[in-house]
Amino acid sequence: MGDAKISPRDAAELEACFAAHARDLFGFACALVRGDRALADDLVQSAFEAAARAWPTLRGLAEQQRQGWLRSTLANIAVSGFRRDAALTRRLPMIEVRYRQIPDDPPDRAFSSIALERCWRIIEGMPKRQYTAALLRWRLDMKEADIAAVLGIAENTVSAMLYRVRRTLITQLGPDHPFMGNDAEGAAS
Amino acid sequence: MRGGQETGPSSDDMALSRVYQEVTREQEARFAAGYDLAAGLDRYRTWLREGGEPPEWSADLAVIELYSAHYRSLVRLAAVLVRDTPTAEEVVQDAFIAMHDGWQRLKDSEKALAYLRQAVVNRSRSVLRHRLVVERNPQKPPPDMPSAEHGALTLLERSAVIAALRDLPGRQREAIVLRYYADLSEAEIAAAMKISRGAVKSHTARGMAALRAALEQES
Repeated sequence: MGDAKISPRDAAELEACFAAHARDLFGFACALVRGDRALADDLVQSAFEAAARAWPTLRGLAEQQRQGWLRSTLANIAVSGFRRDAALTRRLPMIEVRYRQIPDDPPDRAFSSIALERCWRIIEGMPKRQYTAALLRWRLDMKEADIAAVLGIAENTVSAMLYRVRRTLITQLGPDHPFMGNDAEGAAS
Repeated sequence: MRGGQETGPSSDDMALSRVYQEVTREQEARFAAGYDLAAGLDRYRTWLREGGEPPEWSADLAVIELYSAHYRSLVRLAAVLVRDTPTAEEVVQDAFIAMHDGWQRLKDSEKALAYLRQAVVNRSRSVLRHRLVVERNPQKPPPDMPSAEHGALTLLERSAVIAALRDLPGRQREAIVLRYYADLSEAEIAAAMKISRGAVKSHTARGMAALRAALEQES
């Protein structure tokens, strides 16, 4: 049962895959867990352990698809750690959603790195659950109901947390917060 | 910005998404630059050498992985069998939940996938059986209009092949879908349908002949 050895050929390929993707994946993981490098390290390791089990499928994929698979698997593992006790049945549909929607193409670069750096300081300084809820919502594109299920909290609580994150960003960034200008009709009042 | 709005409008959401995408992208790159690749690789290499397969490959994680990798292909398979996508999704999710419950007996992804396929086929069959009962009941109109808005299949559903496929007897349709659509081997089909390889051959051959006839008639 659990003792299937990995063939030397697969092991060599997996090492190459690790060397090619681990760095990027570590960065992704750090952002997910608010800069906790030790945890990010473990997540990277877990994602590649999963890759070893799925290698028959993965080795046939293009590099970029493989990267997508690794990122979504890592996000799945991280998120299943966030969750308190949501039933599996409720988690299944959103796992699919998450898998599908992790965005890969960078949008046009529009904000200055100074503004981005300031944003990050504020985001990073948020209470952990707010940080996580906001990241799931706006980085991984999850719906509020799904976030509620993953974190094992009420949907209202999620809405309230997201609202607070929004307020924090707006008040702390002051008049030059980067999402004001792009969006004059929707955001100004 | 305005005061007491609890649920932001989607334009606000979109703006925040952009901020988050850009902020995290920048931070990811910064974190990535500080990664100790040698140490990570070393740890992974040790794990690989010690034989992989950690004991804590829990049912949860297994299901998540299999789900990520195979959910959509299984839904497509079920959708061709039951002829509508929402039902197909239900069938597949049920199959995953059953697999999760029975994980102690499976414990390996090859077996689990075979199990999932078989569960999908079985459950699709019972859906069809149930529908037959409903269709025989004259009060209700036959529910055979697939809900068209389910992107994945609409293209396929339009094609004449799928239309012809729908008119085939159940076993022939299953055999053909598994063979040419899910790309399974004869042995895998036999296992999924719980019939002999010879029976797979004959179902496939007869199904193909019927399809050919139907398509020729059409053109």
